[in-house]
Amino acid sequence: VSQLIPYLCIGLLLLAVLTIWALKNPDRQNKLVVEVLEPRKCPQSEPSSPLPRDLGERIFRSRDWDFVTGKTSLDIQRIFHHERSALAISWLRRGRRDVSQAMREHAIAVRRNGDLQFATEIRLALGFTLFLALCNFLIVLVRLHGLAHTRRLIEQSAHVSARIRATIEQLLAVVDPAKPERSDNSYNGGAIRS
Amino acid sequence: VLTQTLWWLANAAEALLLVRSIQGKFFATYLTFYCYVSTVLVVSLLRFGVFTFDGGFYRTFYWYTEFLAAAVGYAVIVEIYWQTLRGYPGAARVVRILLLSVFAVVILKVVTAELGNSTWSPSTASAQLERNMRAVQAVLLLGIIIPLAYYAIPIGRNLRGIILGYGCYVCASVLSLAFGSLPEYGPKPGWRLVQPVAYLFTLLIWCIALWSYQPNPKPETESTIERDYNLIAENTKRIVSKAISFLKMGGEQL
Repeated sequence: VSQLIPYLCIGLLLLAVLTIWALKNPDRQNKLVVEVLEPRKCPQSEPSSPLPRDLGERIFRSRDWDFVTGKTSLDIQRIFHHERSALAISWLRRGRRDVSQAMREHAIAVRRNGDLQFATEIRLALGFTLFLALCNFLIVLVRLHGLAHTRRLIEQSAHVSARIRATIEQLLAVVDPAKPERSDNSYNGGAIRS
Repeated sequence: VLTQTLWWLANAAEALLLVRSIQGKFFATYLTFYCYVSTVLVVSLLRFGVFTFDGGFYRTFYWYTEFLAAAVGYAVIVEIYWQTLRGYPGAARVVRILLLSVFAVVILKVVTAELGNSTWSPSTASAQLERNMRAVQAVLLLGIIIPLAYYAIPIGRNLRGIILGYGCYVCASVLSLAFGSLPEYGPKPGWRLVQPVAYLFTLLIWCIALWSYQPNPKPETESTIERDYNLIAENTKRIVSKAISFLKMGGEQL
């Protein structure tokens, strides 16, 4: 039975990909091509941020939380918690939509380009997949545990990864002392900006 | 009776496909695909002849011709590759590298498997060979369909139907041959019907999609804006990494 698994995986993967591809609306794709070839008036020298940093920082900022937790009643805290969770999910969804749009525009812009580099495309696709996974993971976390708990989980995981990174850097310094160490300001110790 | 009905229906559908392509004068446009359909039809009729006149030889003949049909199926994949990615050199490069990687892995796997295999039985080998050939076809199709979806390549009804139909058949073949190779499933007659039913479904998709000629949409005319790949890729990379760094909240800051 174990030799059946690779064939099952291939067959089911093909079925899933075929279904998704067949259900894609060709008219919507053509509309997107027109939009990419004739961009809307509003040229930007720098690519805009898909996730507005100010809003994100405000949503996840601990100062508001501290104020509400210390100065208000339980009812208000509950309402604040609920509203902030909804806002966080909406912020994440907007980010997901905007980055997906940017990736689609990239794909349409380069598909006829003879200079296209396979390695760069794979790196971009992997980065995008990582972003989608992170985004979806955070949405599920906020939905299941609320924003406050999610912040704590992120803090904990950031501390753990910081410790692992520090251990690896120490090991690397022992193995290869000639290798320059990373600067201390490259990572903020896992603290969430507040 | 059910097997006979499926067999005659499939032959009729194949004949209808060929007649429509000749009437609509698009046989030559999808030449490789129609050669595949013609081969399958001829093989099917030859099988009928062998079964009628020499029943003892039928089983051997069946497996050899089944292998032939699976081999000719690769031509359909080549047709899909040429027809869909003509005019999209960037996306074609990605697909080409993916397909070559699949071939390299398959050759490596076959060589290592042959070196380690001391016993070889023709009766089981034919079914396993077809299963493996269909699995490779499935991976090759994935290597084409995923970039087609990723790069949003516009495709006409005819080619969409060819891809969808052949994909369904390959998928059903991989699953049914894999289950059929198990000792407890192989002898059950139900598994033998999966492939003919899937093929009939495929022919139905092809008949609908290829009823009349509908060419692929022409690639868009090149924009006058300079399109420097590195510049576009750099901008997209910046957007994605910026978004990831925001999500990490406190990680890398760009």
